[in-house]
Amino acid sequence: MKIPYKVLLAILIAVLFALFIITITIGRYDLGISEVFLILASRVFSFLPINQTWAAMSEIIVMQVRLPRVAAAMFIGAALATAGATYQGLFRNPMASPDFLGVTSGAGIGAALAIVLELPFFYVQIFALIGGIIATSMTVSIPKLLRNDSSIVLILSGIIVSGLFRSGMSFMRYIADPQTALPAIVFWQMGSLARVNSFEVIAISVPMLICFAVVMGISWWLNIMSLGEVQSAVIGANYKFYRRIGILTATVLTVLSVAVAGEVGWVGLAIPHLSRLLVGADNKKLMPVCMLTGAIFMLTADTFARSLTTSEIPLGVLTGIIGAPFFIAIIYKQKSMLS
Amino acid sequence: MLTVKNLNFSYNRNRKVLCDVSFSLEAGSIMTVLGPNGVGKSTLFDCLCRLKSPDSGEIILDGKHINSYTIKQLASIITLLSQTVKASFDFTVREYVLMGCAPRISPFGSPKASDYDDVEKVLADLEISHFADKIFTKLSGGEKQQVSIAKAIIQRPKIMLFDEPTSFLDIGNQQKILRIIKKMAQAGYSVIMTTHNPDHAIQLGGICALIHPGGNMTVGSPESLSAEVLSGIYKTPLHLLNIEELGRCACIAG
Repeated sequence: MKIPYKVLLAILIAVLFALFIITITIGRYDLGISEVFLILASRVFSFLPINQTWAAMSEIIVMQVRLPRVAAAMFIGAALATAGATYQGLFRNPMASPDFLGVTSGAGIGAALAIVLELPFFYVQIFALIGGIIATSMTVSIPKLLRNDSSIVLILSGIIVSGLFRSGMSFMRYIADPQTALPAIVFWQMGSLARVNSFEVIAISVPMLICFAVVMGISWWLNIMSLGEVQSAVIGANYKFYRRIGILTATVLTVLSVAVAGEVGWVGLAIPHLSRLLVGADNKKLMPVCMLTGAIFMLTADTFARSLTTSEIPLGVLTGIIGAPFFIAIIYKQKSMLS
Repeated sequence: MLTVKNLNFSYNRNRKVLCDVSFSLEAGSIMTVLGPNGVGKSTLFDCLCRLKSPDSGEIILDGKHINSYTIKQLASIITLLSQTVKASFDFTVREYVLMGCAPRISPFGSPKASDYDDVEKVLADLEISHFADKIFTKLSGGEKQQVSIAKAIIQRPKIMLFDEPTSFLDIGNQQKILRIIKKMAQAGYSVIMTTHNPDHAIQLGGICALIHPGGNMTVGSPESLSAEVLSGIYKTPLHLLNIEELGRCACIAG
């Protein structure tokens, strides 16, 4: 039995909203649900006469510490899941993930370079962004050099560039100071939202929202893309146009996520599969569900990351631990499709 | 409707498949294309859909040169139904057929309520509504072929190219597809079909084209087929026997 699509969307939105409030209350400094709700309401609906019944400290914790982190987790979860679903549709490959074109390894080497050069954390993110863009540009230009623009050549280029940048990464770790830089690189590679601030959230949310809108615009066309280039042409869809737009938006979503959060695996691969179990293959229905479930998953994982123990658990470690058994369950449910 | 003049196509200097192919096709008529494996039947279709560009020659579609159309315009004049469509995801029949609306959808748009209604109507016309919610990739060969026809109808083309629609089908489903193709022609579509079975050409009537090894094409009526020519191009003894009960010839090997 399948839940009607609109009901499912309503349920997911309700769950996400509830989690959003609840996760803000969780942390070392105790906050109540009503307190959080009132603080947020007073900010959003500033015209309402809400009396300040909470401590000034609570407001600072909510607005400057927890809200940016919770918002970042939601945006990044949604972005990685959407990017994964877009790549999977474009490349007709259920195993495609957001680091398909070498974005993650490129961003990794950028971040490592900034860490080795002892630059401030802000530059680590900028370098990661640039590294990711360079890696993807290399991946998409190899097929042009070879004068073969088939998708399989592009996928192979992604593997080549990833491999190249991964060995660069090993070299960076080899030359990094084992007392300071090396642990920083390792921690970055494991992914974390511990250092996220409100400026970064605003900086990534605007381009991400634009990308979400573009993905929604091409979502129905992605169905046709997943039949391949020849079928697309026969039906009257411009394959190259949609492939270019799809790669561009999915890459922007991934590179922004990786620049802020480091390497966070599994989300982009597992969430699209989970979403397909819920709504089927039609990308027009799939994308909104991907955004919501991706946000829910990441928010949950990051809350565990910051509250399970007294120190932070790397986000990538948690998404891996939650993701692996979860993905086995999805594959079990989907076995008919993968056979 | 469709005029092809002196079409030549070669994959490389040693492999020439279409040689000076010329023919024309009226609206509402059927043409069957016979020829051994590898002479260029599918290549001809690829040229007609602009998937491959010929070395020389002209293709005039609906009064205009094929290259003067946009992708969407072309898809609303001519479409290809091939046996080898592979969907990588579990689309339902309904979702799959709906994809045929693409020529009428804006670049960042999606189908409207009227497009969904069209799909239901076409599924009902073809009497396949009962498997509209099934997964396309899990259908049998015969069902898949009917769904592909539904998608082609949604596309609203004037010409439909069927690339070996009867291969992989049992004899009952082969006849069913032939009956649908005949109906399509009566409804005004121009149909070209490639087949490995000369009987199908005889059954459908219309024009019968033979592509010979080397890429030359001869065009005539199915009645003008001769056992010698067929035996020659397929390199096996074939006989055309007149079956009185049917009032037509049948092609028998042996």
